[in-house]
Amino acid sequence: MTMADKERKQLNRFVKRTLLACLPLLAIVVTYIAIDPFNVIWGFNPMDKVAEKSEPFNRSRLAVEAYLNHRDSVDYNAFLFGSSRTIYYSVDEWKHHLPDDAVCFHFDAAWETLEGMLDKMDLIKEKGDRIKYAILEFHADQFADTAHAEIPYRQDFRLRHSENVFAYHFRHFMSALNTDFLKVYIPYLFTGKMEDTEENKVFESPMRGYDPVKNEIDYRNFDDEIDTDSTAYFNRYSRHYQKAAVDSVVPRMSDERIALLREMRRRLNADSTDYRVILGPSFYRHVNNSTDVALLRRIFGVKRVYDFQHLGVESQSNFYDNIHYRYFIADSIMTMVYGK
Amino acid sequence: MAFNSIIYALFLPVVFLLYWYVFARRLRIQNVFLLIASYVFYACWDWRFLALIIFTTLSTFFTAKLAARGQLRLWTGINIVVNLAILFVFKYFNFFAESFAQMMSAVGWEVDAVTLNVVLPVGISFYTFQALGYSIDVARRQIKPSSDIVSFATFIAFFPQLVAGPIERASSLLPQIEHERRFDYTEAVLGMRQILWGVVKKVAVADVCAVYVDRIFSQPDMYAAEFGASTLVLGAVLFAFQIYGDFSGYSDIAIGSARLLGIRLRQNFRYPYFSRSVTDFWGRWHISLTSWFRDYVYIPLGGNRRGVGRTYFNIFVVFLLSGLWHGANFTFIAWGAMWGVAYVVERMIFGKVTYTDEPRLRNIMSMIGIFIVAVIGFAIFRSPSISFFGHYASLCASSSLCAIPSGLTAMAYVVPFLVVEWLGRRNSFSIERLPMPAWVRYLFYTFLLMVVLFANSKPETFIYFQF
Repeated sequence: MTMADKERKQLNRFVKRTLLACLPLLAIVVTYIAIDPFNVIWGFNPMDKVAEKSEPFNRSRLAVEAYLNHRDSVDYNAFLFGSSRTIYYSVDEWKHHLPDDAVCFHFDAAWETLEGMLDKMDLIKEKGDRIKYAILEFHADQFADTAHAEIPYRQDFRLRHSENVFAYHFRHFMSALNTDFLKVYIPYLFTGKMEDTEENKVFESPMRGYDPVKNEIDYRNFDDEIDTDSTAYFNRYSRHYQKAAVDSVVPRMSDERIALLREMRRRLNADSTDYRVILGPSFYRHVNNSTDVALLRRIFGVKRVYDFQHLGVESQSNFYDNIHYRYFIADSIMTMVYGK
Repeated sequence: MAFNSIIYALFLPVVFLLYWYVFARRLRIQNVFLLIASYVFYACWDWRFLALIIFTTLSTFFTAKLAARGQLRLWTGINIVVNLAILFVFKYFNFFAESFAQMMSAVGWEVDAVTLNVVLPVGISFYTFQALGYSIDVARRQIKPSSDIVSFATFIAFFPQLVAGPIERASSLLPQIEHERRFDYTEAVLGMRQILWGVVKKVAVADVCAVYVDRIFSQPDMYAAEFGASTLVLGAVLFAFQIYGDFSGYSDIAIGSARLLGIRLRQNFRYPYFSRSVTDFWGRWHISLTSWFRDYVYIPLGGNRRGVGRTYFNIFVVFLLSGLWHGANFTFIAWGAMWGVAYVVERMIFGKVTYTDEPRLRNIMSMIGIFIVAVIGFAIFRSPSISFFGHYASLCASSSLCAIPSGLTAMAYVVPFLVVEWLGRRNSFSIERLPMPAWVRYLFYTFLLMVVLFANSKPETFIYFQF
């Protein structure tokens, strides 16, 4: 046997043993592909999930599917961009403030990122639609680079801004292995029922209704609960309320975030969009620092940026939890923003 | 392309298979392939900055050749000035321009700072220092200038250590590239094992700690008010483990990847948190940078040959420069200065405290002492500004240290990691030797793999990429 043959034999042995060591990983990958918990490989109809009256954990995808399913028959031109907080902005209420030609659509996502918002604007442009009217609702934490540190398995459905396809699937794969996610997802997989516990951050809470054309979720069941027995509601979600005596100012946003905001402005200006930028309140008082607020005003224009970060923060009755303010707060914000 | 990305998980096996199955025993072609792979690796960040690497490569290669023919100091000097100028423009210009404007403003002169809208090229400090080391070694006639541009370009751009070290010496890496490599089964197995351990450090230690560190450092007031100073202290401790897991994990992956290709890189970390003195710490932390500064700055400054006072001054200057090397921020300079003072004070009191043996449990008090100094240093390092650190430190002093801190969960990863590090401290990396039956070893690999997969961490960029 020559030296080269000997070396080749060793090489083959090494490759075989490495593959053997990787078998457990392979088994996990195969299981993930077969189950596809985030529905990013095999596809699914999100409306099936909605029929169960429980929002799927991939609300961003739900929004995208709803938009794609209806845009041929509905000429959307008014879009609400933002996180789950925009759910409480009633489209009908918004329409009162807009000209008659406005056709509104909720284009939000749970834990929406700036990249996710830009992705959605990209999609609208790609489909040849115009953003004539828009609301951009921001939460202070959205400007932090660590925005998703709390719930790492919350994922954007669409490819993130400038993310390649491998990274996209790798991100979902790693999220599916998150033990907090598995704790909730595995029981769901076997029972088909979601657990609406305080610890559950996989599924959204049960909703009262869903309008697929506007992509509007109706959570007024929370209002009903609070109206009926507010103490019971606040006790049930007590861990979701962190009373803060003073503001928690989030650090200055990075250049990367600023570039994304500038890109948003460019897109909206290209469409001559009539838009408003809203900085909404949060009960736990996470607020932007004044430099960033000034920067936002410089980017989007003083007349377009509305700072409501301190609106109603003194009372938990204005909030469903730490960050979601109630329908009536959203209504009053829209009234103030549009000056009617 | 980051080591903790899926792209690298695909890239490395492809390079490995082509390297050994297709190009083995054809040195020239194998080196060309390695160079292309390295450039592809770097281009995945920003292909435009490849021009900088190529420029550094060509200027260093040709000035070294010219220097060897005569006018040694002139050509070496030109290359050093040119490369440092590039580094300065990309890394420090804005910092110095803004600092100058602020300084002028403080004395009543309003100056508009001219700043450049440039992005910092990944790894520029690492490959620039490697190239400068080569130039100086040639000038000192410690090595002969390379005559093969492909080998030399591969030496500068060798992908496992291109963006975050270890900073290699030409005398060690270049001959390995210039000579035919043979596949060595044992080396390859150790390489894989070191990669696995590096990934564990990065994903299950650094990234797990990062989740808590980011939260605590972003809202220290809130954490101090709600959980007490103990959480802030824990935040600083966790950052010490984050940066160690992050950087030494990167180094392990780099060394392991190179081993797979039949190339040995130098050890960059040697269990620094088991150090028993400041001197000992700096012999264990970022070894390749420390020794670079020793050989190319400290010794040319006179080292310890010009009296005690000058020795202390030289030590302090080296630490200050080492801090500045990390980036254009006063916190890095303060970090370097802090270590400089600690090093000098230790030397003044105890003389040069070095050890030839490995640490033992009876050294626990000195290890804890040095660890505390390291934690304070890294808290400065992690702070966005000096004033932030001052505020953070005052919060630590003003609220309760006895409360149960938030973020203790991370210790579930840190403590077992420390135990493994302690048990393996006689090896070049903790799990280098696994004297156990093959099936137990495979089970152990599977366990580590599961730890990585289920660590619940959020993939973070390697900290040292920014340097």
